[in-house]
Amino acid sequence: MMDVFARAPKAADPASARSALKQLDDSGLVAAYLDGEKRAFGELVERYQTRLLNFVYRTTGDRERAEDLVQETFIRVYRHLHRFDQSKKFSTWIYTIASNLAKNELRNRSRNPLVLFQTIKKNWDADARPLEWEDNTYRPDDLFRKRHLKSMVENTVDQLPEHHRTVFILREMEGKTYEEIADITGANLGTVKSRLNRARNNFAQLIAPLLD
Amino acid sequence: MTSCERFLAGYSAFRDDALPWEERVEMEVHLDECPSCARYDRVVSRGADVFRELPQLELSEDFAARLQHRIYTEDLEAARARNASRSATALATMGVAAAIAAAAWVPLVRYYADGEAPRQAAASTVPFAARLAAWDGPAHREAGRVTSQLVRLGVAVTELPYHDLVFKKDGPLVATVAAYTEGDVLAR
Ligand SMILES: [Zn+2]
Repeated sequence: MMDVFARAPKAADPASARSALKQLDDSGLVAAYLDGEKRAFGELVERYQTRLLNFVYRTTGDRERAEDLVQETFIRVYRHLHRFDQSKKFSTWIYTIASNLAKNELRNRSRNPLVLFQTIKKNWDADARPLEWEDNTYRPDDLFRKRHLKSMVENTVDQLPEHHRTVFILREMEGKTYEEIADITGANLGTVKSRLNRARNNFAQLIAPLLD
Repeated sequence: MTSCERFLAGYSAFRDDALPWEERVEMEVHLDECPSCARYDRVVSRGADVFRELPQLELSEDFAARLQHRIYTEDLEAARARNASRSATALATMGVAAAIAAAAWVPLVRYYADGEAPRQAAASTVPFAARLAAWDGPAHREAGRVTSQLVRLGVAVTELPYHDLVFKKDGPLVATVAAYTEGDVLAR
């Protein structure tokens, strides 16, 4: 009788092989995979699946599609890993793939976001400007603010134009460096810096009435 | 440029600690002296904190199984392509697939129903799905057993590399056992 699965593991014990993989950093996993240790791909999936899901979800605002796009990201990694330049950072590469897929998704659908903040929209790309002092006419009451702060912040980020939103998420949520953001978005360093400053300024304009 | 304009223009770099020391000090001093810019800094910081603390989405339960199925399809395509280049006649008999999806994994079941896999293999593997669903031991052991059944049927089984890709010992059983034939046994 032929048990094809008996001859798979390199290490004697699959559990210890898996925990050995967990000790490796990303580039170690990529090298192990290319060296024939196929389980290394599973470890990369484990490592990135939830992070990417949240990144893509925050970028596209669509939970269902986010999962499909993360699947697609892994398939592309699987397909092209043998061509990945191992001198580069794996995390930057996989975020680049996910980010491009998210961007295409947004391009392919007409977004119909809840328009909460119409007044600001014309000024997205203007230079950073100071906050208006409190305008009590539009200021939500404390109970409303407390109850809705999280969803308002979520909506606020969703309101940002895509090229602002992506850099904002990559910096504030993912903690990427300017250089990594430039690689991931394909923009140059100066553009990343100015987009990030504008994104933060717009974010502040939108969120200020809720926060103090 | 007023000092407030300078502050706002350089704010992002200040927040990311990317300013030269002298400029950083200049910003700190302005922050101390200007209530408007201090408020700006407070709003961005607190807003970003709230944003970071938003609940994280979790993957749906069938995420791993769906990914595994797609990878399986990728491998199958690659194997087909390899075989096609190896021999033209192999093309007709290649791609005979036999797989078991554990725990009511509908897409794969449908995959069989579409008739893409040989009836013999599909028929022989369906009862194993129920067994796999109840199985909480090492996935590869049960997989090996199923594979043996396929071998008995005359299917030349080739190992695919991801049989334990997402196997979780304590979680729901999501392992997918997949094998494909390289010969023409089932075509007889
Ligand atoms: Zn100021």
